[in-house]
Amino acid sequence: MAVSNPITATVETAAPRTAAGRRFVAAWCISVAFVALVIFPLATLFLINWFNEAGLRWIKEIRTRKFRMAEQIHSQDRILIAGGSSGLFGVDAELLEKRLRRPVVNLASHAGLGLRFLLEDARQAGRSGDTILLNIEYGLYASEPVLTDIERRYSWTYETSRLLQLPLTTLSQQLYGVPFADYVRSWDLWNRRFSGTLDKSDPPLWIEYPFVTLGPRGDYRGDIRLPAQIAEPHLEKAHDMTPTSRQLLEDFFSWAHRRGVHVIGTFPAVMRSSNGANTDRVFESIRSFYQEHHLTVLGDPHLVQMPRELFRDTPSHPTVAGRRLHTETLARLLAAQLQQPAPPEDQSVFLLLDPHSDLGLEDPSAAFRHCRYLTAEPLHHPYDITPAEVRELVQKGTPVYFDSPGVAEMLQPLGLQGVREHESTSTLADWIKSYPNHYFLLSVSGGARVPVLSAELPASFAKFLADDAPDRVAILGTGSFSRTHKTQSGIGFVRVKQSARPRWSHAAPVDYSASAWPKTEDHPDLRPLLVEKQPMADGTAEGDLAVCVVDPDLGIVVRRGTFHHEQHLDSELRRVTAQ
Amino acid sequence: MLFNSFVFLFGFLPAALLLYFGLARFSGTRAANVALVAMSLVFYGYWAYPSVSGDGSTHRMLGYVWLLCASTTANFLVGRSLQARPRRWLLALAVTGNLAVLGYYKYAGFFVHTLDGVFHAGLPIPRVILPLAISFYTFTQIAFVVDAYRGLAAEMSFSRYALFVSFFPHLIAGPIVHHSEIMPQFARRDAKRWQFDNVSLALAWLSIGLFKKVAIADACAPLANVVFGKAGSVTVVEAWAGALAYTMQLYFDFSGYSDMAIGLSLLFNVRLPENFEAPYRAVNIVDFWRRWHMTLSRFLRDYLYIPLGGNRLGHFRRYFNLFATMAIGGLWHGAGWTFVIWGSYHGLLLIVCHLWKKTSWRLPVWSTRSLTFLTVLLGWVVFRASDLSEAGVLLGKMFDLSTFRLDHWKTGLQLEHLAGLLGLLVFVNVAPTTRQWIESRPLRIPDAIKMAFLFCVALFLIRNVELQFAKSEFIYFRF
Repeated sequence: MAVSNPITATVETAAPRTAAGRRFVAAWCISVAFVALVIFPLATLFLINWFNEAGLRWIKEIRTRKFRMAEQIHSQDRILIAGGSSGLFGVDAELLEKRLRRPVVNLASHAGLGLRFLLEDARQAGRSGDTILLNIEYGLYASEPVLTDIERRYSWTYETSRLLQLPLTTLSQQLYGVPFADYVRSWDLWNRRFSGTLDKSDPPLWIEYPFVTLGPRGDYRGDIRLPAQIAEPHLEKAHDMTPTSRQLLEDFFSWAHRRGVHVIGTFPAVMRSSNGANTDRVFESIRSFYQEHHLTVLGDPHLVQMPRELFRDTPSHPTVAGRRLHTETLARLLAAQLQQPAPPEDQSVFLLLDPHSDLGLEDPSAAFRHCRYLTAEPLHHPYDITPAEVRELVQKGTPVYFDSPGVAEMLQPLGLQGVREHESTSTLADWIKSYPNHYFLLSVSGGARVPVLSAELPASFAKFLADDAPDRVAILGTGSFSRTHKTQSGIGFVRVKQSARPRWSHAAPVDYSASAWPKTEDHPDLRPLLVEKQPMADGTAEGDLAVCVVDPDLGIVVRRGTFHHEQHLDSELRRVTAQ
Repeated sequence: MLFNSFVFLFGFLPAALLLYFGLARFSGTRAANVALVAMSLVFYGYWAYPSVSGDGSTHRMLGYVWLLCASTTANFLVGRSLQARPRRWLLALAVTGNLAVLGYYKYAGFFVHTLDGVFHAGLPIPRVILPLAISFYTFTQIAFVVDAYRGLAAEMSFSRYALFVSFFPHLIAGPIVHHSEIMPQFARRDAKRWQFDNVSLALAWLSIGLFKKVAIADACAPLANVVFGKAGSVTVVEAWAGALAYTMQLYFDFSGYSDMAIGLSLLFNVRLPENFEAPYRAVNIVDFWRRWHMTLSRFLRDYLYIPLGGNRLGHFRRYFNLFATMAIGGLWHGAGWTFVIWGSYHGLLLIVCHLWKKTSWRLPVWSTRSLTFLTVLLGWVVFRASDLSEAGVLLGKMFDLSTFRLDHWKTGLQLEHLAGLLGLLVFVNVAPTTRQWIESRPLRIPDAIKMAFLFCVALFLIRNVELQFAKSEFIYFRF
């Protein structure tokens, strides 16, 4: 065994070195303080100021569009829907507008932005006389003082001024509380920028929810791939309201009161717990909070907790059918709250069945206020109805309608059939008339010549349609955009990249692309019409014409479809009858 | 609390310094010592440990402060009694009592589990929480009572003794201090004054120690953890990388902690013994134990190896004593067969080394250093493994050349990690030790700025742990 000698050290006081020691200690302390208080925050600001994330860009794009939509309405009695994505997916502003006969804009964006951010959005868009419908996600009633992860990144990337408006303690928490992963990611981004492999102006796109598919009132109108399973919402575990949430909401109520803005709360649609957990306490605490401030919160907890079948990809994202059902109820409650006269009684029932995503103001199905979700097995919710129950209704003489082909298939075994009561079609000329200041993306792929029957078409459109080439694409404008005239005959593509317009600040360029490659086994995903790289319409059938109409001012796709024999089937309505 | 935590660095430590030097100035040495004992007990009691129920909850070590206090008081009384009248039976009782307490809290579960494994008697395994630092303060006090019996312990002030045992810089993970080198320092009057020379040294030790711990050891930990966690599916490159990562993690973790302990005690004008002297530069295994955990080696030599007879009873007995000392030293590290095997392995290596020295065969220095490092590294695999089978699997993988490949690693290993580990290997072989760096020349302002930079980097990484962006734990606390 061999070990070291014992260390018998003592510490002598060395008078001549004291001055050097004092200087060392002073220099050490000053250096640490300088690095901690100056260098570190500055380095953080310099390094972490941009997150090249698709989700953040998506938020920016939809917020920009929604603010623009709200701006364009000059009415003094707007209704603005504020909140996270449960409002974006779960409230139909166009339908509410139709029911309430007041302009409604859906400002809801992403709950991850946090309560502070979403309320600030409502403040930014709100004007005197507006009604703001707070569709706040349940989790946001338990907000903490620090910024949420998404709020922090979004603010760093797009709206740094928000950070500077924070209280000093919160700001310091942000500066000193940046996750380590953010430093790593930012370091990587800077490396890529310096090496020229990354363009700051071009973050990737979030393809799950194309932002160009917003409706003209800010509702999400796109399709979503439905996952097999959705995580449980666990509302019963939601905490009581936190002081931060109370404070933020109370500040917002005060602001609204000063500005003459009417505030109404509403319970967002949320997926019903599969284990039957008791969630009454959550709803009760929210309701009593609003009542404390002499405000109303709309919604019946048993109705807003809808079955899994009415949700898309998360417990807060209703399907189109779920949105329709939730919105109809909300419209009734809002109409009563706003003391509007009740509509004439109509017992007709409209059957919903997903997918069904083309509801527009002109769609005849929008006239029905009583809707039910058709399901083979009962879901034990007031919104659902089984084919057997439909048969009972029909036998009692209640008019029952539908427009989805799947409904007929479900009713047929019970001896029920759908009789067409209404059908509407349109031509390209009708669309051009309806959209006088827009871009039209047109594509004929793998088909023969499309006959130009209408003399009302503008020359550029007629010339494109009259072309002999079997494959051809075009991006043509109407009105002030009629100078846009890009066509391609034969296989190829055309593209228009619209730069940001000065009056539309913070807007990213919008990229339209129309391609004329027929879908083949080699290119199964190639679609003829793309807006911001999102496939919008696919007209590969023989002689069909795919059309996509874009509102360049809002940067959204306002209509899309395929014309067969120059006709587009807009809608049809069938009534259920016994065979 | 951890040294690498904000609550310690910016809460506890400034408070302890203010209290100690303030009381020393206005109320006298004894009051300052008592206050420092009290602060050390707060430091000890603040520690959180996981519940035995395994439900993820934690408890403060507060419940074991009484054990530390009782152990300190009992040993002091026995020591004073032995100093007045050395009695062999009392010494035996004291040593047995200390070992019994250590045995109960540290080895009861292991012992019963082993018995149960042999006899399949279905014995209930005691679920005892290991009191923090019990191995360290037990050994420290055994040394004290033995020296009191031998007439070598002169100090008989209870406040200084209590401070010697509980002094927070060394309480948790050493160095294992000897009363003769520490207690006189508590008695010195000039030690109660704020001394900038010592503070400057302290800040340098602290900065370097903290950096070693949080910037190097914690950076090595994830790779080591994942390789040992997936021992069965790693390739030969990953196995070696994991073993090397743990080798570096352990050294920088423990030596970083020791550096911090030295720095912190210097703030109180107390010089703790060093624990490391570039151990991975050892030219043989004897040399390694001169450089690795030097205070433990010293303790084992003085209070185990020599009492067993040392080298005075012939060659065979010497080798037996070496083996037994190292096996017991291994068991001291933890209640598990991996530690026993690891200790025995080192005992065998020491025997081989001594036998080799008797021959005329000599190897070049570079090869002896490499060979020593390699044998130590293999030992760390057993030391780190959760059980013998895991150790066996990983050692097997280290020599399974059929799995060799330089890409598609499942552990997340990157070539950058390998480069970093090799860089560390070079660093530990050529860089000066902390003491050489700090104390071989006067510290100047540029040095202060460099130290401050290291400290700030460490603070940044501590911030990541505090905000739960990363994990950190001192390895030697569990021993």
